[in-house]
Amino acid sequence: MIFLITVAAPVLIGYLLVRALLPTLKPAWVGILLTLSLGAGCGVALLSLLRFLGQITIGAFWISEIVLLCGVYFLRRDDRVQGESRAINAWGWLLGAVLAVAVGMQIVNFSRVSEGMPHGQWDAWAIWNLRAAFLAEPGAAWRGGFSPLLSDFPGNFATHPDYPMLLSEYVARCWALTGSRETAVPIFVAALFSFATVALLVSALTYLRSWTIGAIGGLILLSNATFTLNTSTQYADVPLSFFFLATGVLLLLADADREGPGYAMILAGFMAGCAAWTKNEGLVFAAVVSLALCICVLLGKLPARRLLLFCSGLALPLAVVIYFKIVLAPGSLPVSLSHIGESARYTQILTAFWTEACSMGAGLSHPAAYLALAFLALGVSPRFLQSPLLRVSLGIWITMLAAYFVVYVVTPYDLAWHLGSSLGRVLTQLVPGATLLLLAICGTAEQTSAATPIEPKKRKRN
Amino acid sequence: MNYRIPLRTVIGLSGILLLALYSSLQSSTAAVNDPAQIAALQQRLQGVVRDVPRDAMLAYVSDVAPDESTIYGIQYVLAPRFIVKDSRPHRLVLGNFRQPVDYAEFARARGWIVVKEYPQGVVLFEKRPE
Repeated sequence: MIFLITVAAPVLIGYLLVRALLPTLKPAWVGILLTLSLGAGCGVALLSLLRFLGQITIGAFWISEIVLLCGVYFLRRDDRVQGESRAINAWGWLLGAVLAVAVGMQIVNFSRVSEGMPHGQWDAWAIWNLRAAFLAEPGAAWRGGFSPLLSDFPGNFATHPDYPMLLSEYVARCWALTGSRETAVPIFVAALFSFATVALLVSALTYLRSWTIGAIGGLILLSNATFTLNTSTQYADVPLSFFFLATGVLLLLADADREGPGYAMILAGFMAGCAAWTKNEGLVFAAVVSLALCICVLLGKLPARRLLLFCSGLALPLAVVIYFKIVLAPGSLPVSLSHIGESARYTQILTAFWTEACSMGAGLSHPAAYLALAFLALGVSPRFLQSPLLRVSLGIWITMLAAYFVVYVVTPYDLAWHLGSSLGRVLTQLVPGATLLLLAICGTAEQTSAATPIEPKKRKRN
Repeated sequence: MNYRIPLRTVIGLSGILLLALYSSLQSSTAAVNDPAQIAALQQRLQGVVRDVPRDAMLAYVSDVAPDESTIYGIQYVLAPRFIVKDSRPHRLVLGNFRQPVDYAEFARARGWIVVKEYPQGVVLFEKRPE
């Protein structure tokens, strides 16, 4: 019972917060799914930040969570209703049925892997859950999670005390509240982020475009071997991919509601900040998104007020990350600039990117094949291609890909080892958001059929 | 008004449906086992977890060279206790042996005493106060 309350609290808190900041979205089931999936990640992040703030100040974890719950419950709601109920055609039902099969298979596979590896894969127990074990301790013992003693033995696999703490802090919160180090907690967190990512992608595409596109988005994500293999590892890459995706979704929602108050931008800023609180790559993401939005304001494509709203959402998680990085766990930036002139490295990295991209699916069942078929079937929607924030989001994703490329160029570690041990995971971070953006520019089945009305048959005259 | 679905849409959506069905049915994962054997390690060390204070620092000794998987696995299982190098100040030493060893003799040779023997080659030593 305590476990259920412990894990349900963030979903409830996040749901109430997202519901307050977004208008009521139609169709109703899409609105609920989108709010719930955004809220699940948002709530986990909020409670993780709250626990960290409690640890560096006065504690009082339970009380602060109850105060937060009451606060979000009494937030004034955005009463507007947006979107419209749409009938689902035969193709939509068929795609929905196959999506249900794919989700079912993913649940079975996730359960099998989690049963065989309840402690997760290497980084889960050597970094994230190890640190959670310290953070769950009462008093000042939580600071042991950043102790250099944890890296006392030599080797490549240090415990990285400078890694941001969203995941570890949230797992620690649940362990502290339940009073035991149950493996069910990190398994639950992995499941929550994995399925919230799928639900968010499907619901966002359904709301922004159509159910056909939403279902295709879900199928593409679940056919991506790199993504599905990472769902049960208990690493921070899938949660990070969730926050990347959530930021993209909220930017598009804000763009679709240009006349509204733009509170989606507050949530977008918060999600970008949470990405920085999840992994170091998230810091780069938050910087790239902020810079892109600043450029948009300078070019007159975005009102300055919306940038301010974005920054207000970004402020809390970013302040916590900066405090953490400066005061608690200052890390060094492993860079070797002498590698920049070595052309062989570029070839090696490009080859690895290509190999990794190819291994995202087996044979014909590759996400690229789905995308090609989707564009064949539905074409491109020029109206969406002209959306400023969609273009900006595409630019952000391309910049992130370029940033990862540069990191490999200047890495001081053995390049083959670094690529082999991380490239699949860092590409996983970008996959859900990239799927959203690519499918957002597709036409819809409804549009293509509307373009071709059936002529009434002429009656034969006798 | 009725609408006709263009042929390219029918072909594209049919292709997606077939691919997705094929992909879902092919995606079944076989049962997996943890190569680091963390659950087994947890079983072996449960006595140590029970007996050693949570704020302890333990040195580590073994009859095989410590590999990263073992060291970090033990650190994870014993957290919030620390596994540290012998050069650090510590009172307790965790022994992890694959081969049968005379623990009393092993301890005497190093000026330690045996605190407790556990099953499967796990033993807790204590340094004698100097």
